[in-house]
Amino acid sequence: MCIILVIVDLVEIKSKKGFKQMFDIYYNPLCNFAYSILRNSAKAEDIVQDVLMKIWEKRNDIEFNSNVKTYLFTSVRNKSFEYIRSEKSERAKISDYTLLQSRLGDDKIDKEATIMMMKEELNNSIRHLPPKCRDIFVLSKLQGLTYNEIAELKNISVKTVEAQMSIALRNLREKFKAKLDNEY
Amino acid sequence: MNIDSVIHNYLLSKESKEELRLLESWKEESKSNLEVLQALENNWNLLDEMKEYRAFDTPKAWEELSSNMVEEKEPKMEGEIKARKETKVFPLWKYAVAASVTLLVGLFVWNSVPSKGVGTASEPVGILTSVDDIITKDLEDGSSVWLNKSSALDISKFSKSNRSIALQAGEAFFQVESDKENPFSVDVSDFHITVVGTAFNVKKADQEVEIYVHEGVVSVSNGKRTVQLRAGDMITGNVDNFALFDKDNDNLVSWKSKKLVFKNTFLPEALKDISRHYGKIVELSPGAATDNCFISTEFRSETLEEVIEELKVLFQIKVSENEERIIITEINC
Repeated sequence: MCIILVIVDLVEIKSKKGFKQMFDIYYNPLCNFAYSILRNSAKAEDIVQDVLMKIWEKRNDIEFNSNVKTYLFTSVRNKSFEYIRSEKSERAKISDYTLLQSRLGDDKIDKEATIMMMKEELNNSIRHLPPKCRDIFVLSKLQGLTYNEIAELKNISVKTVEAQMSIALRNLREKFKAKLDNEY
Repeated sequence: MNIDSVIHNYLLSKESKEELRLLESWKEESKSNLEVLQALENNWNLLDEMKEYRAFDTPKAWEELSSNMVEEKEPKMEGEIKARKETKVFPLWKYAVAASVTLLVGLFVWNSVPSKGVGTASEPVGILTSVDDIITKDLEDGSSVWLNKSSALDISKFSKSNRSIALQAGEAFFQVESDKENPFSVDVSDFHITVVGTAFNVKKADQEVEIYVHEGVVSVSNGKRTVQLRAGDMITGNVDNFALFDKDNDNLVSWKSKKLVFKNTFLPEALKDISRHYGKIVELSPGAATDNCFISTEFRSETLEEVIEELKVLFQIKVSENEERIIITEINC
């Protein structure tokens, strides 16, 4: 079954330059989204590239609006589900396929896409933290280490860990502030 | 005191009373402070789900993709959609008055449905209406119409030489006698459907129209663009925003054929057809795993209760039910 959404024109993707802008914004979050469904990073990239290539080929027939995000995430979701269904052996591994189907239903895809875009932004913010501070932030928040464990691992005091975490927070805070200021 | 360390402690839920007071007054200083804190809080919670978020190689991917991208100078001209079974795309159909037209039709239908006279044809001249029963009507050109419950069809202008009909409300199935000289047309909302000889189903609900082709070819137009649908194709939506599905599912007209047929159908798909047919939602609770649930069976005169009984036998399901829906809480495939 194939589905076509009809959407209005806002995002200019008909030139290669405009298309690249869209690509740069969405490629990584879309890959992460596909990965969250497929648990296979190579396949996730394949699917996202297929979807984007199809859009490029059809760019003169499709008209986009602010729904471009929903359109992209919906397409990647559909392709990923299609793949799961076609690969019986792979599907067996994904015991929560139905759960995924309902979690990523048409009514929820928008929210899921927004969360994925937020994660992308957060990921970029973390990547741009000062290196020492980033290490500590990642160990703490992403690896789940306690401040004591980090202090021991890095051979620094717990106070230093706390101080670095504060710097990380200030950086993130300023980033969000700049972003909020831009939006209004 | 440093506000960042206060926020830090707050996010870790280990702020002191004094810190909390400080934070409250900082929040009230400006709207942007409040928003920044909210953004931080949201992101802080999001961080717990970020463990597997990674950076794919975007520049490399772009290199691969862009080498296959061809950029023509002239955009393609609009034309007939020829690529069957591939992605089919339509540009926007703009129609500013769509909403008001629909509203008018709605009022008119409400007035034209007779308050008594259950399931019999038309009181206002040339308007076929149904209430609690499905009715059928043979037209003078040899075509037949099935009208679903609570539907209204304007056949006042219909003749052998002018085969035009308008669906005002509800759902109708048309079995059209072939006559190449005089095309058969149906207007519904802002869609104009024309056929030569075929069978198709049209459903009008609130702001949405659904057109499903059972046999042959059907042209659908909004006055500006014409799209050809073939057997198995379905359009759903309004003129501004609609989707085309390659459905190939005759259970969509089960109200008329009075049978639901499943051949190795994925159960969640089958449940959609069952819900539509019986007018009550039957769905799976999110926790019910249906990976290997496929169903092959036929329902004809069964009640919904009997259908559920069969599902109990086939899949050992357990259900909970309220007025609107039946939820399958447990299933075993």
